[in-house]
Amino acid sequence: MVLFYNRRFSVSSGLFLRQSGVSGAFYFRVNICAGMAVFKFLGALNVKKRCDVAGVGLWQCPHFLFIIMGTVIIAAILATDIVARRYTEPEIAALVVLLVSALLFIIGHIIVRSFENVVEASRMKSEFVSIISHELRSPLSAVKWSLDLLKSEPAYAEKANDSYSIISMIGEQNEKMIHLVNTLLEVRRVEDKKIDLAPEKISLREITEKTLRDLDSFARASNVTPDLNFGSDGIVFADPKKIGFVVASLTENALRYSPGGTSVKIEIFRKSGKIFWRISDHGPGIPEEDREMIFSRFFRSHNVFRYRSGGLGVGLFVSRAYIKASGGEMGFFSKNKKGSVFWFSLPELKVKG
Amino acid sequence: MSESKKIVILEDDLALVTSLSRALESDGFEIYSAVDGETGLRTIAEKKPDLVILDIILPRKSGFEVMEALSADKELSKIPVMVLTNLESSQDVNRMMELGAKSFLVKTNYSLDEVLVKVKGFFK
Repeated sequence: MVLFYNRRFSVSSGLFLRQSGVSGAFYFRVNICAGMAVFKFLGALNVKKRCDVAGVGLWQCPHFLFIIMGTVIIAAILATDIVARRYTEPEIAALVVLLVSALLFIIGHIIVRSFENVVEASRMKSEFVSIISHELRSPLSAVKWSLDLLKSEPAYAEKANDSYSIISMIGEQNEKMIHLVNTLLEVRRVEDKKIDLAPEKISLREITEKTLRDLDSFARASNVTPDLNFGSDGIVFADPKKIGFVVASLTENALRYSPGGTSVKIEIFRKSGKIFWRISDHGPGIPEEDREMIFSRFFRSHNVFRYRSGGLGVGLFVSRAYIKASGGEMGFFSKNKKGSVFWFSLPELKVKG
Repeated sequence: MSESKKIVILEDDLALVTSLSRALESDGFEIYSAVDGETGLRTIAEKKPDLVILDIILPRKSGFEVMEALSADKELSKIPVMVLTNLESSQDVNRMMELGAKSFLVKTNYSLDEVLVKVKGFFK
């Protein structure tokens, strides 16, 4: 619609100008009118609204850029025309044409540059589709095979205990898929900066202890011992579910990347009006080239660990967004082959009396 | 079967291990399983199975690392390996086949029965 309208507009104004051989001042006025008319269309067609729907910024929105480009071209051609008529020397006319070409080239370049972000976003989206389909495959194939077992082996179905355990396995896999989809929706909310927080008075110590209970079997299987050093109960005003997610993500990462037989140290302490939570492991550390990307969504290092665990690669991305939204900070330091330390801080809740 | 064939399954998803090993056991195979690459390698060295069923994404040591360790060992490199995974990029498939895997199956594309047929195919 915009395209059609704009084209008709520029053609008709061009015709009009050619037919009436009037003075430069008149052209100039026409030019202003043309500009104003374009902005009127902008309002009428509500380009901004259309760009919002597309989810891109104004300067990356094709509808808007088309109108800008159209305006610039009309202005440039008119200006060239005026100058060419005023100064009849061919050298000056040629120079003006060159200048206008250079201007158009630069503006075109700027506009194309703004599309790079769109291209990058599109690349991330397709990588995301391949990650999510892979992550969904595991529970889906587990459900498929469990159902195969129930169908093909009537003997299993007859034994109540056996069929019950298969059915409960299917249930667990189903929960995994629900959790996966919920995580994705959460990533979406984080991207849109629409995190819903329900803060209350919580103790980081309690949250950490609960997390460790949940991860107990994982820690045992990995043969990693948690080493706790709670210098404070860590009373803060924050959303227990969100902070629980952060603590669980960081703890799980530390356990996963720790060699068997080592320990993972978790500390809670107060420092200058803030509560700090810190976890240190004896894992391989984060390679230099990955450090910048570590908090990006869907980022998973291309090192040997890529094939040692699944996962969406959103734990740290979501965690940092939660901590920031709760008024805190999050960071890490890491030495190659000497382990990593991840920490976050939250404002301390002043307990009255 | 006069003597039951031994199979070691390396797979970290317990639901998959359970369904696969139950199905294979009911067909008369002797099944051992491990949920990570490190333990898996020990189990393989200890049991000297007739077939290894290997996933790629495994804690501690990935399927690739397990495969490298197996092919470096004179005796263990003779054990046929069937890769059973959900990864299927040509890069992953080629890497596994170059390391000496005998076949490569994508979990979601096979029913339990079809996997059984493939496994039996190794012993014909």
